[in-house]
Amino acid sequence: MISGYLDYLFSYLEWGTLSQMPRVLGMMLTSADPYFWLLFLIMLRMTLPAVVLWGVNLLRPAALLPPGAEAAPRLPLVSVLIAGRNVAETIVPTIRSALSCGYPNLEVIFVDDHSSDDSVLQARTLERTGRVRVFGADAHTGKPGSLNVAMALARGEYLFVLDADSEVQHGAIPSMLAHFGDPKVGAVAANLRVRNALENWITRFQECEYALNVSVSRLWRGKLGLLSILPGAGSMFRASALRAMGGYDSGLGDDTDLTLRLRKLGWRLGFAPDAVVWTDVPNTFSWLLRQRSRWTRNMVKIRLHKHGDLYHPGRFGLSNAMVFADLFLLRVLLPFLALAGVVVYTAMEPLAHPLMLTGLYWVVIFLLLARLLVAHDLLRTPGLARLWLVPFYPFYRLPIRVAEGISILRELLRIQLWHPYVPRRIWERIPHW
Amino acid sequence: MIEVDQKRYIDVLRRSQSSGGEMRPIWNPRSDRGYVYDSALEHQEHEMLWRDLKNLADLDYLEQDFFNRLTRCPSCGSHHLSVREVCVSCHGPNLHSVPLLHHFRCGYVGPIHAYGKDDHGHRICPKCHGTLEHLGTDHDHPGENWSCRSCESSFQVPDVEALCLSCGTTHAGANLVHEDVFSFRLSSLGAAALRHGRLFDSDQEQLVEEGTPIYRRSIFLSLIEDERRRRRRYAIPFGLVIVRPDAEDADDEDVFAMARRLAPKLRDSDKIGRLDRAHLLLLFPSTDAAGIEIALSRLISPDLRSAAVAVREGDDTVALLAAARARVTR
Ligand SMILES: [Zn+2]
Ligand SMILES: [Zn+2]
Ligand SMILES: [Zn+2]
Repeated sequence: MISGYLDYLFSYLEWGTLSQMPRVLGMMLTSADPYFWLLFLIMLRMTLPAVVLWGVNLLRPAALLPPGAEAAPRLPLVSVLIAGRNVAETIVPTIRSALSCGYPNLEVIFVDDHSSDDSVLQARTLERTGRVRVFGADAHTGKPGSLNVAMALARGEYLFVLDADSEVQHGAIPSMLAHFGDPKVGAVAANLRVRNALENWITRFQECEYALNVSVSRLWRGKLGLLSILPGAGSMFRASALRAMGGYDSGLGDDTDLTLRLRKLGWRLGFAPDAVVWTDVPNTFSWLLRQRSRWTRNMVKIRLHKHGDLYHPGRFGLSNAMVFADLFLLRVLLPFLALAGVVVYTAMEPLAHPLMLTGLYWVVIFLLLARLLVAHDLLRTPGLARLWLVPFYPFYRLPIRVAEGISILRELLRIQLWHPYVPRRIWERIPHW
Repeated sequence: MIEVDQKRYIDVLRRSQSSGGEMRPIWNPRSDRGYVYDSALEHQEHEMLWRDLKNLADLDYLEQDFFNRLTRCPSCGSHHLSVREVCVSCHGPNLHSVPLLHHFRCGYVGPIHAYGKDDHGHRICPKCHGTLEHLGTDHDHPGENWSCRSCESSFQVPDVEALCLSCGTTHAGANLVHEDVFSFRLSSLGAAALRHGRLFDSDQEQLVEEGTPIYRRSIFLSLIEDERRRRRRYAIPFGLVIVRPDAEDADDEDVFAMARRLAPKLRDSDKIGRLDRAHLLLLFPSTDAAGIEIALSRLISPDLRSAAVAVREGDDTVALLAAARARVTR
């Protein structure tokens, strides 16, 4: 039975089957069945931006460079802001990587969020470099508050917010600064890459995922002015823009929230693919699911509940409305429609279902391969040696999708809103979106 | 020992006795050391008394107790130091510290002066315009931040530096010279010396207290060090026990009586030594922990208190004995 199915599965790779593909696609396109159209649209939305990006890079590579790249070299003071709690293991290498990333005019401010380990002592060993300042908070405040403390102490013209367990690659800071040549740019996201990719298969998959959903996606979004998240693990801000807003808001989802507030004020956001920041990703599946659940809940909380008014093109501009519509379709509506479709089709034609899924599987694999090759060509990540993961990638994404779906429902139904990320005493004082 | 010294030492002991058995330091900023032991003395006599007290303590006639600690200038030795916070980068003392306030509701953090006030005197958050009412419930104080007016540095922990008012040099806090200041109490040996009107410096007297089996304190401490060395090199164990009369108001005579009662119960190699006026030590060479248990059970009697003192490698003997003394004190 199983070997029979495997025969069938691999029969798709035979020339006889492959040569039928255009005909099948034509059938899908002309089909009156809305489900095929839905699938087609999802695939188009997932694949087209990457393919277009690849084409642009091929024909006019200069179009992908930051606008102000040729501007005369200026070396403004950059403050690296790091907030952390119980990060004694990683804080020293993180600060050291920032100090030695090749940018001369730099200060590092580490705000310790009342750690119970010796994070403060560890970090203070670097204070005698004269470029590092350590602030140990007297009480647990949460990350946004700690970053605001760091911001209050910073003197730089630009603020580079970094996670306490990351590593700045040489040359990252000038790559980001280049974007600020445009006075309308308020912030620039660094290119996050997975440092512990070789640890196990979970982190290897995440490397592919980051390449697609973080690097490539931010590259075209940045170009189109549709960037909607500046990662807390590595983003640079114009200090005056951040100060004018009073810094981060308390509560969950701080980086998304800050990004959308900048967008609402009309700041442009950039993405610097050459500014690489290495970060560690979860190395167990349960940790990964918890992380994604938190992200998803924060997405709903911040984007739908707190900044739901972004959809209004008359108020915050067309690009903000597009960001909102894209997100709503892609992250909320489509997953549920897709799920509903699977249920409906299984009920209607139980026997045709495995065959259809198999066909769909091969299409997905093919498109995924195309996107990964684009990512590799544009950004040299993931390595070609990682492509053997492709056939298994859908099975890695499926449980994540399910967990995300559950989180969306839980957040929409407002089940267990509190997360220990925010200390209780502060939670009790903030508005709950 | 020279006759003149003898006489002067006896004088010092007598002075201790007449001032309640104890010579305590008296702070005196005009003296060279910053303190004296007798305000009635002439200037140059202070140093002489200071050295006599130290010597008498070394010779076991006085017991010295830690009283306080002074810092001195490493350049000139003066105690006229002004210790203050200085800038971490330019070492200037022209600093001011600014408390930061954190508003929970909106997360804003800023220096206290960034917050305005409303008609009721409550602070207003510059970000969300909310009112700050109770420290700790709706806002808090994440810490202090120092700024330097000379070089615009900013830091949370300033350096500490001392300015010497005598020679004008400045020194980092870590480089200052520390001097422990002691008070001195008459020991039992000192009291005996006063009774006899002389110091005990014949060969036999330099080992044990006159007319008793009790080794003098300094001798006994060096015996303990010998045992520790032997244990380290040859792994030969030894035991140490602290004893004192049970009576809280035991006098020298009670302690001597206790020592005389204990002596016949000990082996020839075991030794009795002085810790201080009320406390004696027993040293058991070549005896392991089990042996000490047996010895203790033999020594136990209702009129004395005792405890085994575990000496581990690296322990400081004097600190260890102070802790042991606390264990047998009520
Ligand atoms: Zn506020
Ligand atoms: Zn200074
Ligand atoms: Zn001096």
